Amino acid sequence: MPDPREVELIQRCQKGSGDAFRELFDRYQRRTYWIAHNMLSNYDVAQDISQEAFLRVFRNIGRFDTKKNFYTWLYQIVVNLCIDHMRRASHNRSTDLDEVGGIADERRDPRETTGRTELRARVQKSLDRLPPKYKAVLTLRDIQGFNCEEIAEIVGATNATVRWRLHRARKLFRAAWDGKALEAVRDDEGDELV
Amino acid sequence: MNCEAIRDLIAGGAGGEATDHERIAIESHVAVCVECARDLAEVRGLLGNLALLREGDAPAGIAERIWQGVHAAVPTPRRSTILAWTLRAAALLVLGVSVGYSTTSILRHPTSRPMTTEDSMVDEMKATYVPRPLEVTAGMESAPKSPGPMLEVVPEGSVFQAGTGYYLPKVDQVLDSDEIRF
Repeated sequence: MPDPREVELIQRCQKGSGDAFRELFDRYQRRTYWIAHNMLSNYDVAQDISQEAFLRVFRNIGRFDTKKNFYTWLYQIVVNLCIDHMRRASHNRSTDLDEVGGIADERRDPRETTGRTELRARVQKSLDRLPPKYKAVLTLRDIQGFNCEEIAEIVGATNATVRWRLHRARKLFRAAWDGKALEAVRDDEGDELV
Repeated sequence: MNCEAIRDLIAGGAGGEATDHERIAIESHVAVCVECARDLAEVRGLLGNLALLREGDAPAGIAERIWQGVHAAVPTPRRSTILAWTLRAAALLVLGVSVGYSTTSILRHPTSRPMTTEDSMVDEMKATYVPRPLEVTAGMESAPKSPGPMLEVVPEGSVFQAGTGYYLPKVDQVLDSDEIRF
């Protein structure tokens, strides 16, 4: 059920209030950025994707149905933009170890231990091997902590499909973590894995 | 349930998604199966590692940089007010010009509607029209010499259409005798 305060904020945006849009942006920009970063492991691209997502929200807010959850709509835009980007970039993708840890070079928190940074880098690198739709559900569930109903709204699938993809995504992630070929994981859906 | 089925349940439910029935099945199985218990611990460890990516320290000023990119497309209240007033002024101007043009047209043609292009053409044709006498071919001398009042005398054998001033000549006046077939 949408928060009444947020519904009012969206209605002000629909009437053209720039202040209301800024408030909406402040509420959601952080998580938007991190979803994009988790999926793309590059802070510059994550910044561009976040920016594009908010621009699309702004252009289409007039058509948004306030009976629905705003955040699932916003994150749906973000996830779709990320998946499009991943598909376009899949043939020439390379993983930058500085980026996958989350923060590159001088931006990295100096208090963070090298071991933790390396662990994060390994996690991100394993995640990056997953096909986009599995990466999306794993990011939304196991990194960002959304429940399966929310993820179903965000990815536009049924709850059962989300649970199935999650089950499969975890198996794929485990194979990637262990350095195994993803093709070794049984592929009942006939998905493209590389 | 066998180990393979339990490991499927672990993969799909280790993050808290398992139903009560599934959770009981997993717990009762791992209590007696060392391999599956190890598998469950490993999956939970991996999920814990994934959570490390939830939020790092975002690059400094990232929110403002994103906002700057979005801001250009977002109208400020001042910009939207100026735009609204400009549009209102333009609408009033168009309305004023339309009313002025209509008034001028009515004054030039007071008894009728505003003059159109078609009206102008009709006026011009009236001014330049010169009536021409009707050309009469041989054998049709009885035809009227010029357009005018209805014929007083209808030629014998002609078919006259009352009220129109026109008549049809006899058949033998326009066709040779050998062409007449009935």
